[in-house]
Amino acid sequence: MINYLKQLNITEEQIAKLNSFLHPEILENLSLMQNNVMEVLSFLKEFGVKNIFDIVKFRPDICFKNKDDLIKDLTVFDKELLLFVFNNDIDDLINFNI
Amino acid sequence: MLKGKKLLLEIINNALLAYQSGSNEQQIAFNNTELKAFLSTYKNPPEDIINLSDEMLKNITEFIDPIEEQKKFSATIKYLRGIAELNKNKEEKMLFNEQQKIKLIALEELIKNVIQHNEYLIEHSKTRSEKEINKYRKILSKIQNEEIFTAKDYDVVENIIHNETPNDAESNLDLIYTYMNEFNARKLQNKKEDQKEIKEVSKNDRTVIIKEIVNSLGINYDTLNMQVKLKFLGIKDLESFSNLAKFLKEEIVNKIDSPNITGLIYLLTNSNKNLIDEVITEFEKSSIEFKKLLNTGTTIFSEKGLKNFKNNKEIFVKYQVSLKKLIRNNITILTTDPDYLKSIIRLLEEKNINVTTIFERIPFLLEPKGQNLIEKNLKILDMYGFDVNTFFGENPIYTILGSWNLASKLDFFIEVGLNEQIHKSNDPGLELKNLITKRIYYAYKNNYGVWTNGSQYLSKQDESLPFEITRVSVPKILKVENEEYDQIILKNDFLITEEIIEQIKKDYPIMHLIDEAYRAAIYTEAPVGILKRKTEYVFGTQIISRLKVFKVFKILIDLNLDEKEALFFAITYNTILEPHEYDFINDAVSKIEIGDNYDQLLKTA
Repeated sequence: MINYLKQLNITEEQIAKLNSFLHPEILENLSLMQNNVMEVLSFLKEFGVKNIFDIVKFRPDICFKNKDDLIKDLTVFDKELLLFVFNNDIDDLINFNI
Repeated sequence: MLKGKKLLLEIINNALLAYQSGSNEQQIAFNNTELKAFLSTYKNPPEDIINLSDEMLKNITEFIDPIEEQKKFSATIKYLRGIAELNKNKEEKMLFNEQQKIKLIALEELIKNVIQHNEYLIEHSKTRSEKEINKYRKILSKIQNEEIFTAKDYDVVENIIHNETPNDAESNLDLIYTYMNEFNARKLQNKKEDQKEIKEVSKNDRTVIIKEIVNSLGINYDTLNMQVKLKFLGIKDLESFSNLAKFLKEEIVNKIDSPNITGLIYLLTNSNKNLIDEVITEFEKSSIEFKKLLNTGTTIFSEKGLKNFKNNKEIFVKYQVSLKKLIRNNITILTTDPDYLKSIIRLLEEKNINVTTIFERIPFLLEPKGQNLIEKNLKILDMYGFDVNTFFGENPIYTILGSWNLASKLDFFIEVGLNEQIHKSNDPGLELKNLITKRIYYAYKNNYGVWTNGSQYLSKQDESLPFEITRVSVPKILKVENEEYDQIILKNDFLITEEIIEQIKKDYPIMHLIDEAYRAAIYTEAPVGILKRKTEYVFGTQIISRLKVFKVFKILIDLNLDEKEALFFAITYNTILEPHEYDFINDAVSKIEIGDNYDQLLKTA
């Protein structure tokens, strides 16, 4: 269902982890909305985010955001600071209203 | 098999003949009387044959099969009767040859058989009803048309055989059932093959039609995975499917800039024109683009999704949630199970948490698993000495409820001496949130890990980040793979409670000793004293989170690590230590002996 994430260098092992960690409803949404998920995650990867796996695991809601809306949210903060948060601890994104 | 078939046909034909003969029963009886009378005088066949009338001969030869033989036999008998007539008036008689004598014996046998047969007909013609005879005819028709015998037919045949051949019923049934079974088996096999062929042809036709319909929407059917193909092939009503595809092509596809294949497939397999129209009408008022709905909230186009949304709409209205904000921040909440939403709202209200704020600012907490996360974080707050009812002040910021590792953040602030500051604040929730933000900025500016002292966040993929600090000294003591244990601890979602702590102290006296010896020496009942004794150890100048120590110790002990090693690892886990602090803890753990009394231990502390 979410094998398409391999295109973003998420490994087979990580996909297995996601399949066991995420709620089936979230997995279904990730599968159904793969166009949007790929658009958002590809953008984040290009933005400099290395922690794509953690985004899907801990903050799948970001994957279901509209890319343009997400860009607006991100531009409020310093890019380097955001990348530091993204690549360090996804948990802290919420403190930046993301 | 042929024997059985022949026997069954013979029995049924005879029965039908007997039934048909029922109307001229008297004639048969008369014929039989004549034949019997003839036989009684048939002592010297070459002469007595003259008593056989043409009518009698006709009645006898009717039973000979085939018809050609009837005529041949009849002609021979008439010829012999003519000789017998001639001999009657002649002194010198013509003699019969051996062949002719045999024919006369055969005639006698034939007459006997006919008499027996006629008697049978007379006896049985009275016992068959029209209904029964129809059953006989049905079986006969089945044999002639080579139709499969049903279980009911087996019962009918059994009755026929018992009725018509009561003395040989069992042996006859053996032969007849063998025939019926073999016939059925052969027939079913042929039928199965025929059906398979028909099915394959029809399946192929369906696939071609479905493929054409799917391709008409710009979706390459051949490239779809098997799961999707099976979904399409499972569609029963091809006409409706075709109409839906036509509708999508004419009305919907142009509303999507780039092809959203999975979205279109979802509409084809889970939606219909009415549902789509309803969703469009519903969101037109809020100026929500169709494309956005399909891309980010696909499930709303299903019957269940739309039903959930309609129920959830009442909740959104009740809590004055902006639909636009919700769609922007987490559209999937629209179609979440309303019962789940209600249960999570109950939990939030019990803790005086503003539901609208959660909906609009942290909607991911309303996703599945969100409730577990909220409950877990509320328990953590309680365990770390906070009153969850007053934790969030007048301008509540609930972001920490969405934290996956709140406990380690609290451990961090305890160990840098900020525990009291958070608790003393009028708005501990805001204070904690501000400290978290400050820590992030500080770590960012100084290239430190935010919440780690080297044991990196579990899934961090970039190993080259500059803020990584390696905990070099610990492995020398422990002789274990620290990284492996770090990961196990990080993965472990285990929540420490006072009950678990008491149990650990009972099971492992070393923990009882450490708990007595290194808790903060504030023995007042003032809140700060209770808090510090609940949450802190003091090793020289270093504060260590008590709850962290118990949690990590329990995890490591469960992995069969030595008690002292587990304790040392637990104290130093994720802690930034100066060399003298490290030495202090090392000494403290080394000195603990289970046999020591508390006074001695306290003196060394």
